[in-house]
Amino acid sequence: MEERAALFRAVALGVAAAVAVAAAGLLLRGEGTGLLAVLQGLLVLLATFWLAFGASLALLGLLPEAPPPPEADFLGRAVVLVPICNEDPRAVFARISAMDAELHLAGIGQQVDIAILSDTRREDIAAQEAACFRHLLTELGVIGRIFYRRRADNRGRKAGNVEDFIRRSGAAYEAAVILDADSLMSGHTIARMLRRLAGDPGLGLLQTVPVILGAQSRFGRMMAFSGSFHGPVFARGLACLQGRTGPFWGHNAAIRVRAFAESCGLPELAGAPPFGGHVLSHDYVEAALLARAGWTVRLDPDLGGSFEEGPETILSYAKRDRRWCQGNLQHARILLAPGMRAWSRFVFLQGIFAYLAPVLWLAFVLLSLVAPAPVEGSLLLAGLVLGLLFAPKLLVALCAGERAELFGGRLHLFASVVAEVGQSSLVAPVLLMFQARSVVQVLLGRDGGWPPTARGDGALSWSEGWRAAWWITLWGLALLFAAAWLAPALLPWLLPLAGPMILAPNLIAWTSRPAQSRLFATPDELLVPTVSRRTSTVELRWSDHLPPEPTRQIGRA
Amino acid sequence: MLDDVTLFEALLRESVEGLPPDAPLAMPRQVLERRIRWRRRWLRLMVRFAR
Repeated sequence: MEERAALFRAVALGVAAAVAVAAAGLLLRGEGTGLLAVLQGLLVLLATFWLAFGASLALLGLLPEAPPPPEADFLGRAVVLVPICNEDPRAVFARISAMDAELHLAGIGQQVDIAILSDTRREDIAAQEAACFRHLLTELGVIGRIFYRRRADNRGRKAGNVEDFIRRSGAAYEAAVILDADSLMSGHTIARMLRRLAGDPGLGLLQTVPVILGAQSRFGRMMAFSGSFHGPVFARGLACLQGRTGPFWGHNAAIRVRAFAESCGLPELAGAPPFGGHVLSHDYVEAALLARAGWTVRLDPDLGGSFEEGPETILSYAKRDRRWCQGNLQHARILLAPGMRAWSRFVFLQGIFAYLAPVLWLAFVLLSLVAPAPVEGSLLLAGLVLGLLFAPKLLVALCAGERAELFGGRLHLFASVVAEVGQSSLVAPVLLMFQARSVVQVLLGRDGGWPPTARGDGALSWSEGWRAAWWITLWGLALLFAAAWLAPALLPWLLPLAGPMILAPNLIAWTSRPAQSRLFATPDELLVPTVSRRTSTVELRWSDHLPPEPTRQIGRA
Repeated sequence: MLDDVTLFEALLRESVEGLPPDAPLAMPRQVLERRIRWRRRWLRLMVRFAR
């Protein structure tokens, strides 16, 4: 496994490095002597490397699938952990009821407990959680298999919540399936995960690829389609590189409790946030710690039946991204942690550059205004960057084969892919600006904390978009004016970047509205998974017995 | 299926109130940051040089 991964890693890194050097070379083309030109070349080198590395994942993901890993009967006890914090209790407990029914159907109902771990701070929501819990127990008629506890102190947030459970109750279980408040998993998938843990005694953590369910808005549906269609291919590419150091995305994953307990006790980092304090993006660190202790961490992209909800608007996406940005940049403190595997360090670096790259591109654009690169070189570079962005997506579409039928047929799929490329190109500059702002805020020492994440948020008005993104509009206008004044030849090339920036409030409002067309259909929308249908049925049944959800100011664990 | 009263009588009898089992497991804190010992060594070296 390690040798195969090492070979793929060498290929992916080699290709990315070669493309990055070629990009810098194209830009400079014999004129790279001045300081600004060298700086431009360096920025392009770094930014293109990560772009090409991402593209190489898609290519690797198109290789034939590896044989499924070994499975064995799981004979121990397991627990499904559902950390929640100020969520809609009725939706959370309806999902739990549906998953419990699925566990029984999969034949593991008596082996698997469910524990709802509440970090809810609002008393009205906590009271509803307790009411929903009683209702659930009464309806299912179970004692001692489904648990609910609420922490008085939500120290360490989600990681602390799970850690608290393991410290108090971990010895009762061999395995745990960690979910998010919005996660949904089929019983069959949970059973297979437990069998795979039993089949490989060295496996410490098994991650699935969750896909987005129930998206309604134009933005949400685009993200759901992209995750459902392109996501598995990129995940397979990632799995080619993982060896024994795969990823952990914090939820929809199974852990071997003993391995997690002995390796993943997270310390607080010295100093104050944003770089000190609690480890925000704890999942990456926990994966690295498990690998450091000799356990295998594995992503199995072949496991379906794993779902989550996604952000419905650009603003809710940007809000979540702010937290992820701070978490990933905080990993700079852990890059040199003792004993970590080299690939874990690389993954930290990749996570850091996922947020630094937009800043590098922006810096490159600004430098290009002051010292425009030769037109021919710029043209070639633009072509290369567009190719790296879109060619993998189009290639995945061309190689869809029988998968196309799951997305409504070839024609429908092709229309969705083209629409996704178009819509994501419009949205990308706006997201780039939000990411760049997040990086600057973190580098200036501003702690974003753990802001509440809106779920199922409604359509946004233009004025809401303007309040959140007026500064992006100003940046877009400034870029255009600067280009017209300093480098008019660059104007046509800046329009795809500056145009969406100027229209940011409109884009935020337009993409937040409910989608009317059937574009972006996903397999799970065309054939709704049983566990999702069960959840809807339970929610509907409970709507008569339980009070409506509290006023939404929803957060996540 | 148990009715409300039976269920909560049972819960009260066992006084678990739906709490997870009491089965503690140690979770030692991991080391993530290198201790910078070289600073002290370097300082000692500088003092020796100064002397």
